[in-house]
Amino acid sequence: MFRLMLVLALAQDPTPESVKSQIDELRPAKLAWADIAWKTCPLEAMAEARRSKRPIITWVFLGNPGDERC
Amino acid sequence: MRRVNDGFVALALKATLVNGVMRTDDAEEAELYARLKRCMLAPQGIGVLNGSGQVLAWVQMFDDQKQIAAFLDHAVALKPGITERYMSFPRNRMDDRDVDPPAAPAESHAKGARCPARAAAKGATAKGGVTARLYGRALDAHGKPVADTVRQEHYVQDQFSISRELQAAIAMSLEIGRLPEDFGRLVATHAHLGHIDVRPLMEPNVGKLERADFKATKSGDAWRLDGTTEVASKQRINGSGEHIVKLTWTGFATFDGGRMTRLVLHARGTERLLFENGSRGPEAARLPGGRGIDQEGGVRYGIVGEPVSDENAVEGAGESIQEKMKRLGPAIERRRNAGRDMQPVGRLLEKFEPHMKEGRFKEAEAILDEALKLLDEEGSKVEKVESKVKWLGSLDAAKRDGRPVMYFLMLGDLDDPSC
Repeated sequence: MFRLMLVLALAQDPTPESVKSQIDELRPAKLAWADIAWKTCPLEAMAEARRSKRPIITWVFLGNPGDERC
Repeated sequence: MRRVNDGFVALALKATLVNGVMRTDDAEEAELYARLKRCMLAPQGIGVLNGSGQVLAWVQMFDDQKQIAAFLDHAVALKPGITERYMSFPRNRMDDRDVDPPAAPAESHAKGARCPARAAAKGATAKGGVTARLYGRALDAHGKPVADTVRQEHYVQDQFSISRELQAAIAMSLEIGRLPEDFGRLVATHAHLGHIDVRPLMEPNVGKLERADFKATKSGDAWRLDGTTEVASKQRINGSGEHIVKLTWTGFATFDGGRMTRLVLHARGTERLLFENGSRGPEAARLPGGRGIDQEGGVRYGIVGEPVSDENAVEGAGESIQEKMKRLGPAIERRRNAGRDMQPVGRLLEKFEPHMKEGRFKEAEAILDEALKLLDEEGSKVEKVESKVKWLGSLDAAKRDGRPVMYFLMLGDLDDPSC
């Protein structure tokens, strides 16, 4: 039913909402690398490491694992 | 994934910040980056630190896939004192680094202070900019998105900024109905599959923007955008191959004066991506260079843009060290072509590289500023002399032609508009 509505919507002139729906379709429900609880603030990471007595593993790269390609 | 979450605190850091290409105005972060930089074997890689920010290990790649888990086991047992460094874990170990224990770091940034690293991770958008998030999927033979979303040649997400200046230029062009090419270029730069090295419009890849036409028509409160972009490039970064992306875009943008308040764009098209780097063996053993890709087919892209909040805006996103270095080359060339003494600049720049290698970016940038000031001053002196020579030349010409000459007696300088 949802697909039928989507097809009908797409057959008409696009609207900001229909374009946004098409974009949302591209986003997967689950991303493997997003399962890691990445922090991006170094001070927060160090404080958490001291509290939990765990080392920090840091990935230094051009993008960021949440939103950017590497 | 569970292993990393259970045994470690995971921290993602932007290489541009750690390597000093982007500035950080936070002393604690700068100190941590300097410590990392002293231990890194390349500008990107994986490090292990303790809660004080002492670097315990640095690794570029792994002998094979199994060694990733072995490294995690090894890393949780590391003790402070030295930094173990591996080009490839465990067989290719490089010289260790002796490290002094750092001072106890702060629990958090001062109240009300921004975290530069967090802001950079959210897109490095300067105040007033729009952060654009891009999603791209390869399509299968039936036109459906390929199910795999791990490999970047199948699924990609990325983000980029639309500057205030470009927003203003777009806003001004709306009534004319044709958007500036820079907008199409920006969109075409980021809409591609694969890792960052295969970006078609990134040098030294030899890319050409074949087409970037966007037209705008009023649609209620928004502007409807329709466009076509085409890029074609030969790969030159860490391999060879070709990359051709042809897309047809439809979307909407809203504006408040010269500022974009929302952007949604969707594209369909085709993409040919061939990347060959002769790599063989396990992927974990060739992390920096990437793997070969050979695919061609349908693609879809989506872009959602929203103004960056003040909290997430990057301050000092003006001229970076990298941009200053780009300015340095032509300035040196000008001085050399003018036959001037290169030694003062050379002596200054000799001090630059050691600072960069040791992660002392403030000191490195200060030297760069001094060199540019010296070169700019020289440049402006030359321009002033040239302008005076031109002026005197025009007086001579006037006298020769028998035209009257009006003289000005003044306190200031001809170059000074306030004179």
